[in-house]
Amino acid sequence: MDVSHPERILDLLIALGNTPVRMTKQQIRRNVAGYSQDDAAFERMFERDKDLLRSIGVPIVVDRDSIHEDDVGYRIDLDAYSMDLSLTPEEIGALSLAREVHQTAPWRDAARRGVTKVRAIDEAHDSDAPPVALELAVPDDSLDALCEAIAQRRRVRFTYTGLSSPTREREVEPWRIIAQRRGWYLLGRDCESGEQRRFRLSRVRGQVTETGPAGAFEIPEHSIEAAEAREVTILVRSGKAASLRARGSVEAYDADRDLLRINVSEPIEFAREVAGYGADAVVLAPADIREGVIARLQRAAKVADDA
Amino acid sequence: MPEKTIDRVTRLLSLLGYLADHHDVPVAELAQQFGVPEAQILKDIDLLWVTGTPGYYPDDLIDFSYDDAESRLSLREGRGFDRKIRLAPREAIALAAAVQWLRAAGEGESVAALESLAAKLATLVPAVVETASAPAVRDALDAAIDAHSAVVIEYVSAEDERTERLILPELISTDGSAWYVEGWCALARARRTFRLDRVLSLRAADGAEQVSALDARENTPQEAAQTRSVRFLVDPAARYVAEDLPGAQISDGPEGIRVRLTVARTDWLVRLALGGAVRAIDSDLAAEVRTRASDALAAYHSQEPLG
Repeated sequence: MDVSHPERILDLLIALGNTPVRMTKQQIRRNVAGYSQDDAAFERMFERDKDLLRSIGVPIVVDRDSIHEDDVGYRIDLDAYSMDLSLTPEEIGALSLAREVHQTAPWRDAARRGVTKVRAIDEAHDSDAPPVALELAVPDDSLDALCEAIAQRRRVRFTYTGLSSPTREREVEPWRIIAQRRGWYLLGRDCESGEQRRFRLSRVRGQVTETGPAGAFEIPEHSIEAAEAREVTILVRSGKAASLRARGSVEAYDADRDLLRINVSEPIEFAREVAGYGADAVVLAPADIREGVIARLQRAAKVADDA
Repeated sequence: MPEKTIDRVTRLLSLLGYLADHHDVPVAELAQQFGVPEAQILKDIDLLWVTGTPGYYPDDLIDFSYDDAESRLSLREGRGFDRKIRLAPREAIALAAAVQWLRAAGEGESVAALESLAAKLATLVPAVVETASAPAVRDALDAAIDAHSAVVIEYVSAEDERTERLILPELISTDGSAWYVEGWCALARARRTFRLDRVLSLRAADGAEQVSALDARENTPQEAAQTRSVRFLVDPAARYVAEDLPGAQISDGPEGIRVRLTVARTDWLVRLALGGAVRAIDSDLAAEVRTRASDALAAYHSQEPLG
């Protein structure tokens, strides 16, 4: 019997959702419709189907026998499978606008499937899409693993290159994912320092691994601002540095300069940004940010001609 | 383009979810609900009808009752999947981000629904998308887009040049941190994108300007912007800077990260170099960077720090 790919995936899902205990790969290959009896081909098909189901949120549980370690079985946790969300037809209609809003392909795809799922809840009262567009940064590979770890309150380990610190392994209690200023960040407690930190996902190298048991910590009340935001005072030439001005308060200083005050939570990235304005924006205080800008300008003054 | 398997599987499961508590449903309603033709719904039902638990005897299979004359459907047996599938983390983030952003945009008829959605999704999603609130000029631009009319803006460019521009706005967008308007610009005689936080003032175009903007747009041939290729070396510690550049070709070398890119403007690159992340760059740009860095260092030298 020729079984199409979507049909085989449905058969796998229904088999794993109805198995009284669990199914081994052997049992899946023998009993679920559509799988090849060839070893390599079966492995390929099964891995692909499993990945697809997981990527749409199907909780496939892997059970290992405590005595026979290679005796691996699979099942679907039907309680975890179910959506716990009730929405009115107006809310479903408004949520459906998400399909029109996203401009970057991975988010447009995710929104389209999310909307299909919420439209299973009830009829939708649809409204017109607004002439507007949201261009969110493309998600990093670690995003799904981190979301999963947050949901389960499990610690994670990953290799991270900080802006001012060398590449090394970090262990973190993950609290929340934040999209900000074109990038994705993880907010959580750094286990080494014990303090709240932000990690930019594009600086995470390789895999994120979950470590330790589920429910290992509580997520405390927290501000999504990075730890201490500090006020930076900057002298800005009239009419210059418009994007800095938009983020702070401006008062006149002298005939051709204004005094600008901005709250800054990422001093290193901020120093890089201000240095970009050269003589048009001069940091007066605090001293460490001022020194940071000067050091960057000194480096820039020595920039070489590319061969 | 054929539909992706992952989208089809998502809809198949959502159909089961919808039919779990909606009975005797017209196929036309399902088509409307899931945004596909009725013929596709019938194909989906045909596929579901032959899936089930291993053995695949009649009692193992998903079953519907279908009223052929009226074209109405009920689910008789869902094999455990007469339930709604949860949102995957990525889908939940895509929906929450769209809601958060549509709220910030203050879209008319759905405002109440968006408010309640934000609260419901907050408990479900471990992520926040920080969205800058829309600048004051947004409303005026929205009105102009709706009316297909021109506006005159006073604008500060990324190079800090102040210009007055007659534009025909077409689309408003945001990447989560800044807002943009895209449209036809009479000064550039081409399509341009402007950051709203750099719009200093805005007024409606008068009758004559209106006519001249529309005429000029009609009569402007599409021309490609002047571009050049740039090559530069980025400090490995700032690798993410290179990775964030759209369309950049990146390769690792012993002396740093080599980046090659085709661009219309180079001012952003000069800024990046002033920020100290660039080690070497095309000679004309290197000269500019060195001059501007020296000017800036002189400005720091003559300006005492505060405190």
